[in-house]
Amino acid sequence: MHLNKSNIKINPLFGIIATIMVTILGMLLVYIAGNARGFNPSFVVLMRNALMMCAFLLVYFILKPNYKGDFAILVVVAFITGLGFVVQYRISAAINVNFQETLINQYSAAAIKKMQADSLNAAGAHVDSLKANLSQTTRYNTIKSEAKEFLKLDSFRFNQVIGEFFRSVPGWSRVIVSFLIALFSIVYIVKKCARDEFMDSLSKPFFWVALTIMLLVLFVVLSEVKTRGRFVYQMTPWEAFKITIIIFLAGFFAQYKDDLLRKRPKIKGKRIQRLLIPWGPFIAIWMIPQFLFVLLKDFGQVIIYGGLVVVMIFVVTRRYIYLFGGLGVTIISTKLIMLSESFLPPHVMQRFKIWSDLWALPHNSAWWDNVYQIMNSFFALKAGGLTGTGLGLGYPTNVPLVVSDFVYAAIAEELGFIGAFVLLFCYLVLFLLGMCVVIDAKNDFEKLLAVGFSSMLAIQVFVNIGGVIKLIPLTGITLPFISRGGFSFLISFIIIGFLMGLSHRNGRKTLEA
Amino acid sequence: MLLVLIILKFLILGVIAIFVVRIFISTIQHLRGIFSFAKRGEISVVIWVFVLAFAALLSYQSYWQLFINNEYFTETRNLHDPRPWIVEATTQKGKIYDRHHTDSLMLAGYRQTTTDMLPRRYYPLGEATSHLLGYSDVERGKAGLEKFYFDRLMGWTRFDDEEKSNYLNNKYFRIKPIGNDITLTIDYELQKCAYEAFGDNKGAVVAIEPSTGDILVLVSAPSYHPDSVKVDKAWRNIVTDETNQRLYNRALWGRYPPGSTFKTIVASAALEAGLDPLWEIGADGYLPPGVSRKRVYDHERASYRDHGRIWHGHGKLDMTQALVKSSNAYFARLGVSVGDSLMHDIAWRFGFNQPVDWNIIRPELKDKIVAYKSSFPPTVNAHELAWSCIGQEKVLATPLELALVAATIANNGVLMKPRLEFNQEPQMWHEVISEETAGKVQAMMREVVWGKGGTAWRMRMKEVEVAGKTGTAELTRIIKHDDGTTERVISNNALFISFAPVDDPKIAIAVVAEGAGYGGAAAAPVAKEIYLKAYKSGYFNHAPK
Repeated sequence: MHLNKSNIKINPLFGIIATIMVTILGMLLVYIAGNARGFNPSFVVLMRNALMMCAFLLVYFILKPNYKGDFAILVVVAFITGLGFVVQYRISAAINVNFQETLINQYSAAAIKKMQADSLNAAGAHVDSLKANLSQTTRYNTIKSEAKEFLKLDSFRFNQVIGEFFRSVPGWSRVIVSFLIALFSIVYIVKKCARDEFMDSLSKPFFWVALTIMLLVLFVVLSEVKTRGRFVYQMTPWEAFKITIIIFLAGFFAQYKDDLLRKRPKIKGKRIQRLLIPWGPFIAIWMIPQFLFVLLKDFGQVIIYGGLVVVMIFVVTRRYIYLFGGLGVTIISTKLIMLSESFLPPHVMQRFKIWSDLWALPHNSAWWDNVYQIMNSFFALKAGGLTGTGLGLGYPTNVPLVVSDFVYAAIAEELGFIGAFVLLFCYLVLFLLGMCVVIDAKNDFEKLLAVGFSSMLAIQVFVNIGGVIKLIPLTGITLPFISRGGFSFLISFIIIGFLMGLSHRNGRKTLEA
Repeated sequence: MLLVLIILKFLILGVIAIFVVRIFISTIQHLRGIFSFAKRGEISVVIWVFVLAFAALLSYQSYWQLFINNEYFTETRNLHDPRPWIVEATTQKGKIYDRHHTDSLMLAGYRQTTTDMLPRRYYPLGEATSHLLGYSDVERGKAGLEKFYFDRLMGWTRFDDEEKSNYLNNKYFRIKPIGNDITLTIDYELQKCAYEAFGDNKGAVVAIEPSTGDILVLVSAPSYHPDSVKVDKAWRNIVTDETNQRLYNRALWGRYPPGSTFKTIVASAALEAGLDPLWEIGADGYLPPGVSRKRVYDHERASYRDHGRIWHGHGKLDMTQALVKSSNAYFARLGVSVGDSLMHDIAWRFGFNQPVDWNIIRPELKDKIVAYKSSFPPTVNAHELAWSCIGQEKVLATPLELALVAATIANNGVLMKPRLEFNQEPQMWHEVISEETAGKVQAMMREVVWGKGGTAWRMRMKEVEVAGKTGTAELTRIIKHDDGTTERVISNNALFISFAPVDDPKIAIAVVAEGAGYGGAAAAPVAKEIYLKAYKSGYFNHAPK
């Protein structure tokens, strides 16, 4: 059967199993290295993460009977999530440890042992023992004993580990439940998307106007401006807004496509009606949040929603003016921001200054206080080099905010430029898979929906990584599927659910046709 | 172990890459139709925009990760990156041995502390070696040989097979790296003895083995305890102690007027020029030719006057007698007759006016062991030359240089490069004077100790026959008081250069004691202690009688 016009050569089951294997292997490497280095990752957390990864298999088997779409999306997401699990496992093991002290203590324990052994040797035998160390057999034996020590095989009791695992399950409830909710939201949304009524209800833009504004008002009331839109558990309420705004924009553009293309919209009524009917909701839905984000000083979100609208309008109208106009507005506003010192709040201005001139003299402690975040990220990159230090063998916990915003620096340090390249390639392939959904879409609404969701992920990736490597000013955007940022993890999976649901619709229609 | 981790890391990335590349290929096949702009141009443009954006990310990242070569960045990294310090704390740095290379005579190693039971860097000789070995600390930085040999002690260098295998082990097999040990030419016992003999004096002692250039002793006093580097309060006391300047390594950085010890160089130059005059040296000293009106008097003139006696002059003096009695007038006159160019030539060959050419494994890094130049600046007239030749005027020498002068004469006129690493082959620096000249100077210096009226009579020992030359450099310092009055303070730096035994010299020692008085009285006893210790250690056992 020629599925979805493309020849997907991989078996998604193999892909997901490979993902789980790779994740377990990666976490084992972290475990081994961590034990040797002294930050002692917990084995039960490794087991928990492995089981959580197995939920991808469950998703696959639940969807498989009726799903006609492309499973490659799920496989790529599983790879990225698995890599995220490995990195988070590594960071969370070491993040609360006073690294330097622990390492010194660990090292000291070994050194005391060695000193005791040394003192037994006669002084003259020292040189001989040095020479003997060089021989192959002794080296093999030392490696063997070292390996035993690293793996802590002597103290490893399977029963104890199982017991500890079940004892610590209640403590993990939040982690497990939020992950499972995120993962099974894929299943839920794919099932929902299969129903035409659901898609019809989605495509009614004014319903989404109401819902979005309601959500917005709720969140603005809930979160104070001072906390920059963040409340419980570092959640950013705007994350949920991503979904609704994409659905709204897709419905809006699909409905008023012809009016956008014409110079004079053919809407009956008075002049004010002709203007307000198409553009009123757009202004309400897009301009007001943008204004709020400016108010909240959250420039990452401004970039994301701005970029999203530019891409979607361009796809609808096919007019390059929107694309270049968007670029031009970005450049001009950046220039204006650079020129006007007092327009922005100081901390955002600081980031712009760091971005435009990192080495602003003099290099005193005040300068260091401004640049220490980005500099630590560069130190991590430099320490990683081309091939990386190896999982669990670097020092990424020196980077501030490494769990959420700067997680890419940790990946680049431990897996090197190659690992970072592989990760970026995964994201690119995910984006391209989204584009496959776009070109197969049977109507404008679904097409625009897919464009919105896939470019939303791509823009997020660009803004996060660009901030970490100083290509663009630093913003508080998380890396999808990898950063631990409360809502954003869930929202990313909901986006994938929509993409897979749309893919399913395309596949089903291709089969019907 | 490490190698396995590294290989498996690539396995992970490889598996991901294989699957994702296959998905990528199928995606490209699927998307192939849209790359014609006529049909679905907008999607193709969106794709290209994002591909370019991702490419921009990667290329900009590659700049920071792979290609960055920015001095500001390097500087910031050295200042603020905690990684090197963590690595240093978790590496078992190499031990530093003395020339005997035994664990009991270690200069730097690890010791379990009594308070927290953790092994810490430990310097058994403490204050005696703190200037030489230095320290390495997160807050204070690095100094001394701990700084110079840092990469070797950390196991990053690959100079010989042992170091190469250690390097590979560290890189691929050990999670906790082990550094390379270093064997210095320093003698543990002599270094300890020298520091103790020096007592409360300020100054430096340097001892050299003449035939190889081995530095046996390198002591600077007053010193600081290496453990105080870790203690804020103690460190503050050291830094604020301006009268003692405890952090200043006087053996390598201290530049002193050599005083009468410089006369050995004048004697060498004169003998090279074929001069050995017999001159009448009267009570009126010597007046250098030219515009000068300041006469060079012998030191006895002042001391006789202080005791209410009248100085009548030495009478007829040959060079040996002049050196024994340390006649300023004789050597000022001798230096002027030798001439400026030959004096500078010989002084240069003794090691003046040039950086110290250390005999180390990486000659390109020899400037990193900071040792100041000893200087004998060009003289403009006979007056300056005359005063330079008795070691006053603008002549300045480090204690290391003074020891090298003694070692050169002891080594029959051949100057060996000073050596700190025991495993290096000895290398010649300069052929300074002929063997014949050196033999004559040796005999003269023996007379300084053993001859009648010799200034270094305190060095006469039954154990070993020492030859030497005392020196007393007069320093006039003008001290300004708070109330505006000024005061002239005259202090004498005591100097003593020597070697022993005379027949077959094994050790050459230079002692400088700031403001301690006369060289024979203040500096020579320190050298005597070291010679006695060396005698007990068996340095002179094989000397032919």
